[in-house]
Formats: sequence, structure tokens, C-alpha cells
Amino acid sequence: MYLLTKEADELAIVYSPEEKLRLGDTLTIDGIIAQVVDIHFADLPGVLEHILRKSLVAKAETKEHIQPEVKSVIDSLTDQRLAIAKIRGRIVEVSDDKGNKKKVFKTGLSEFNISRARAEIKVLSQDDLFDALGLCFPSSCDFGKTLSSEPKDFEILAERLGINLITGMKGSGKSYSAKRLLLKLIEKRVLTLVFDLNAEYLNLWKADEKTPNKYAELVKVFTPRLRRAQANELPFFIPLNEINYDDFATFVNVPQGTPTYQHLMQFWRERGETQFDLNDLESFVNRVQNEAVRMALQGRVDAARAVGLFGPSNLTNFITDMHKTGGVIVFNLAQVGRWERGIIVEFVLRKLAQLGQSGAIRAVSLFLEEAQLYVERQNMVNILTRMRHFGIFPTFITNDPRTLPDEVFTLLDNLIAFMFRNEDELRQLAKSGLIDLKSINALKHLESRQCIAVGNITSNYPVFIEVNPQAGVVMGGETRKLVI
Amino acid sequence: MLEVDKIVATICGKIPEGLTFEPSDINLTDYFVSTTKGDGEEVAFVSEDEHEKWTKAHLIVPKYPIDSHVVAIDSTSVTLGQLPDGLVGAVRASIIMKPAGKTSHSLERYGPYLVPVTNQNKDLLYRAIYTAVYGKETKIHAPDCFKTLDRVRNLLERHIQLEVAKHYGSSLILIDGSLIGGTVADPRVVMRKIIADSASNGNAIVAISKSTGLTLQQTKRNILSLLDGVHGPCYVEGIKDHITQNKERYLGHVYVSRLTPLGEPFRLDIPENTPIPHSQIFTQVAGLAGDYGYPEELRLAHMTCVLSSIEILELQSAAIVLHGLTMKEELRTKLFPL
Repeated sequence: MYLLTKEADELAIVYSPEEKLRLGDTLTIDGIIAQVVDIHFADLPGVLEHILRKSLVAKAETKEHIQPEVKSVIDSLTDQRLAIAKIRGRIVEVSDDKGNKKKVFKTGLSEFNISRARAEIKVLSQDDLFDALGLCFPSSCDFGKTLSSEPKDFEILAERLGINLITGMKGSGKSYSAKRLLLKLIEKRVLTLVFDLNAEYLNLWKADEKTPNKYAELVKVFTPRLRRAQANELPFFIPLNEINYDDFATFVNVPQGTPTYQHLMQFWRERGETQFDLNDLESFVNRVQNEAVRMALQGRVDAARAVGLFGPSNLTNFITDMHKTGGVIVFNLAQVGRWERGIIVEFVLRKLAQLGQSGAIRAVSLFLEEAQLYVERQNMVNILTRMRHFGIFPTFITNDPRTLPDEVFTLLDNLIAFMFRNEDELRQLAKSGLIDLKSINALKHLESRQCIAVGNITSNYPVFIEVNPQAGVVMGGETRKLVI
Repeated sequence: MLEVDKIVATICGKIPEGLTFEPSDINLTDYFVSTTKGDGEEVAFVSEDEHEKWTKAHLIVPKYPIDSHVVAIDSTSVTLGQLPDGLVGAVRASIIMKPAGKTSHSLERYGPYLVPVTNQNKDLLYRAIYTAVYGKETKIHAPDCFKTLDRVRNLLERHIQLEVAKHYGSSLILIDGSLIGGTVADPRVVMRKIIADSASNGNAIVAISKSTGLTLQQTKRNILSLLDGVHGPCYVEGIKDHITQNKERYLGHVYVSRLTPLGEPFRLDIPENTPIPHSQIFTQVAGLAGDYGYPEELRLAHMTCVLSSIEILELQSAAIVLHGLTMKEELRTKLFPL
């Protein structure tokens, strides 16, 4: 391998086909660390004419007798490769307090004193890279393998998760990987709440259609309007006594400051800490003197009853209990309309904030698939800015990063990006500042289940990963075929 | 493919390892590296008696020979670099075929073969390949290393012509050059054999030259000038009858022809005994003529055999590895680096 050029923070490296190099490989060039983000043919003068001449007669109609000793050399120049490598920094040796020396990765490059002719360019082993990055994985790690000449097991360390984004185009493997991460979190005894828009997470507790798997006890699904609990599926209800008048007013569209709103406030205050439900509210409404207010309130009670979301529930206890063991609570949003979806999500988010604020729960993970379809922008900003202080760690999962507010990208701790072809979406990802546009462009070349992970989980070094398949779990999420 | 292993074994010999090698300069922006082919035909005069009568141009009515099998042969050689006492070269030959009933082409390519030629091995090399191709021994000395490389190329091409004439039938065979026999490089018996084998297999062989040594006696102008100002497609016949020296060396009828209306004039040699009349051969060859009035099959044969600058670089590196050569440092660049 030879260094050809350096432009800004990009190195062009010429190498022969015999030297194995692939996207994501980390190179060490006399101490400089650069990562391969693109691979081309070396554009030699005369190649066009050479290839054109070869194409004069179709390959199938060409027979050649070449001296055997020459055969391996012919066409070797036309196959010379050019790797574009992004300078990431340097690996330097430092001493700790006890005087032990170790190699660490430092970003930036203030010196550039390498020789094109003499620089030794080598592929840095993933072990050495991870050592320098301070990434220490457990021996049983199996989330994925690095995309490199010598693949190495890679794990997402739960303690490094913060505000996370898993994104990629349809069919790129993002939902699959999100579920793999979810199962990893269960193993780490972390409680995750999932808003499941497409009923993809409902069967995570099954090994196949009939058999429960090892996660079965720790996966619970809450489905609105379900008559009774069955297997791991439980009915979802919002107990009126666990929300306040403002929540209810918001859910049933009663504007603040109106007489109707004031009557709701009065009802909630009268009830104080006692148990109550829609029947109690209806009795209260029947006693209201003002006919217009009474009618307005009765309409809201009827609507709340028709929605079927309000009723007795022990969700709060459920969350606090599962928080101790770790597991997954899936909120099945597949069968409900946009309005009801908004009510459910709003209720759960408020409940989580309440529990976090009161210290009833220390920290939970929250998975939001296509959040823009059920979380208001303001709520999304709340999740990002306020709720993380209550121990709520959101993971956004979307196939269109442009639908998320800019705050997601500004505050993002970890990005796991799968294949994209659309330039707009790639540019949006670069807004995170975790990775540059040139490197993110490599996503165009990735295959299904291959991704770039960058952020706290990789010590801010972009790592190309292929996510391993999951055995023993019905992962779901496959797009159905029109014709089998 | 044709049998060439014996020839390849003869020309791709070994030389002592460790020799210094000075690669030829290659400019990658050159489409291909130009090489001079052949010894250069000797100048022979053509008398111009009754000039008006015999130089009359006959019209050709071109017709694409869709029903004919056409074979075109060409070869190339190039010097890859110099050794202290010689050179390392490369040779390659191409056969382009247009099957009967089709307009598409297929290619058989022989080479590149690395040929080391030194003052020490050139006689042995030349005599060995001469024997391998012509089947008889010779005591002649090889010319200088550069010319020897060209002779090796010529012998490879003749071998392929001989094999094609022997193995193909009812074909129009186009070769680059002339049908001159009795030179040091091309004994008359060999050229006669190519012509005889072609005739016995029903092949019509046509040799086409872009240049010629045949010169008009009075004006001292090349015979190609006979078609100056004459638009084609047409040809002038009977030139051989007016050649004044070594007429017996010319083993076919010699023509000057312009194969397309505004094409270049070429010399065409066609043997006497062809399966179809010469006028019909002209009809077919003119039907094949493309840009500049040169037959497309022969043009393809040339374009597919010449080595691109990229191939030459690759062959230079192969030569260094194969023969254990060491690169010679250019004294000039060491002394004057800028």
C-alpha cells in the first residue's frame, strides 16, 4: 500500500488487489489512524483506452493463449485499487498514575510528517483499535461482528447508551437490530418500554408460533381494548385517578380556562387521592347546574367511554416491579387510531416522568419506532431535554431521519445507521456531528444488517458492524409479500 | 486454438538472473506504444512503359461478404527494456474471425510472450524458432537484438498464417504485408506453402500493405501514387509484369487499390490460384473496408494485438520477476534530479 495524496482529512491510498482491504478497515500510517470509507479503482491514465480496446470483441468470443508466467500480471494494473481513508486521529502511548504505559486513541492531527515513499501502511487489528478506544467487551458478546478484514465480535455496552438513534431505509435491518438491542437490555436487567406501531415486538417472547422462549417471563404486551389478559398480553387502561384533570382535559380536548375545564378541575379536587372512574365522573356531571357545561362534559365522558381506554389498571405497579427485574413492556399501538395513540403515549410518558421524578424508578429505556407518528414535537423535545434527567433513555427508530426534530441530532449520544441511498437523509445524519458526510456516504454501499455505529458506544470512533442473527426469538417485522 | 506451445517454449527462454534492466519509457497517456514492423521492403522499380494502358483503374462494386468466413491475422512486438547485452521484448498475435452468415467477430489471441534477446542467445533463439516454424535448419546469423525481436514476431505470425491456411477452408484470409518470398526472413518455400495450403483448402489469401518499396522508375514515386486523384473503389492491376528487379520474389499478383471512395490507397498481393476470381475478391475486400478504406477485420486484428502502455508496464514488472532482473538506476536522474 502506498500513500498517494492527502486532501483535508482524507488520504488516498493505492493498493493492489492481493492486499485485502475493505470498507471500515482502520489503517495505521506511521502512527496516524485513518479509516477506509470508500474504495475505487485507481484511475490510471490510459485505462479507458485499454478497456475500450479489450471491449472491441465480446469477452465470450475471445480466446487467449498467454504465457503462464505472465498470466497473473496481465490486468493487474487495471485492477489497482484506491482506498479513500478518513483521518481519525493518532494512537499515542501514555503512562497512567502507576507508570504503566498504554496506547490510547487521540482525535485530531496537528502534525503531518509522514513520507509517501517510506510510510508503512498497515491494517490495524480490531483488537488493537478497541484497546486504544477503551472498548472492552464481555467474552460472550454477540451483537455483531465488525466489518473489517479480520472481523471481531462487537457488543453495544448498555452503560454507554444515552439518546440513541437507529435508522436506515426500509429493509436495511434497523428494526431487527433494535430488537436485538432490546434483548441485550433484557439480559442486562434493564426495563425498556416500547411504543409498537406495527405490532412488530408482540412475539418477542416466543421461540416459534407455539413455544415461549427464555425471555417470555420478561416480555409483557399491553393492548388497548383487549377484554382479558391472554398469555403475555394484558389489557391497557388508563385509571382516571392516576391522571390529573389537565391530562384528561388534554385527552378529550377541553381547552384550558373554560367552564368545562374548571368543572373537571373541581371534580378531581373533590376526589383527592381516592379511587374513581368514569361512572363517578358521570355522576358528577349529572349534578352540574349549567346545562351547556353539563352537555359538554357528558359529551366528553361519552367519548372517553367510547374510546375504551379509561379504566382500572395497575400499570404503575407493573412498571415499578418490572424495573427491578428488567424486561420489556410493549404498548401495542397497531389497532388504535391516531387520537387514541396520542392519549396512550402521552399518558405513558407522563407516568414515566412522574415515576422518574419521584425516584420510584432509577432509569428505563424507551424505544420509539417512527416517533413522529404519535409523539408531538414538543413532547419529543421534552423527552430529549427533560426526561433524560429522570432516567429515561430514549432510542428513536426511524426509516426517515428527516422527520425527527433537529434537537435529536444535536443531543444524540449514539447513532446506529444502516443503509441509505437518499442524499438528503445522509446529510441529515451528518447533522449529528458524530460522523462526517464522507464517512456517512459509505452507508450507500452497505448490505442488509450492516451498519455504522458511532458515539459513546464506540468511544466516538465510527465502527462498521454486521449485526448477528438472533436465534430462538420470533423477531417479526418482515414486510409481507404481495404474492408468495 | 492453434498449436503454439512449441513456438512459445522456443522463444520464452531463460536468461541468467541478476542482470540489470532498464525499462523503456512508457507514457500512460499513449493509446499504445508504436512499433516498427518488418525489415522494410527493399526498393524495387516498376517500369512505366505504355503507362497509359496498364495503369487504368478498374472499378470495384463492393459487397459485404456475409456468406464468407473471413480471417484476419496481425502481430506486434515491443521492446520492454534493455539488458546490458540485449533486451527483453514481448510479442503477441491476433486472429479475428467473421463466421459465414454473421457480421459479428471472434478473437483468438496468442501472447503476450516475453522474449529475452541477448547478443549471446540471439543466434540460437533465431535458429530455434526458424526451425520450429519452417521445419528446416538454418545457419544464418541473427541481426541485432532489436531486429531479432521483430524476426521472432514475424516467425510467430508466419506460423499462425501457416496454421490458418492449413486448418481453415473456404475462407477469405487477410494478412498484413505482402506475399514476398525469398528474403532472409521469409524463404520462398514457406510463402509458397502458405499460398498452396490456402489454395488446396479453398481459401483466398490477400496480403494488404499500407506502404511498399515498389517505386515507379521514371517519377521515383511510390506505386501507391498511381491512384492519386482517382476516387475509389477501384484497383490497378498488372504491376508485377512491370517490376524490373527480382520479379520472382513476388509470389502473387500485385495491385494498388482504393477500397472505399475516399479511402487511402493500399498495395494488395493476391496469389494466382484463388478459388474465386480476383475481381470478386476485390468486391469482398472492399465490402469489408471501413474507415480510411482498410478492412475492418484487419483493423481489429491490429487493434487487439498491439500492447497498451498499461500492458507494457505490467509486462515490464513480469519480466523483472520472471528473470530475476534488477532495475538499473538512471545515472542522469541521479545526477540531475530536477
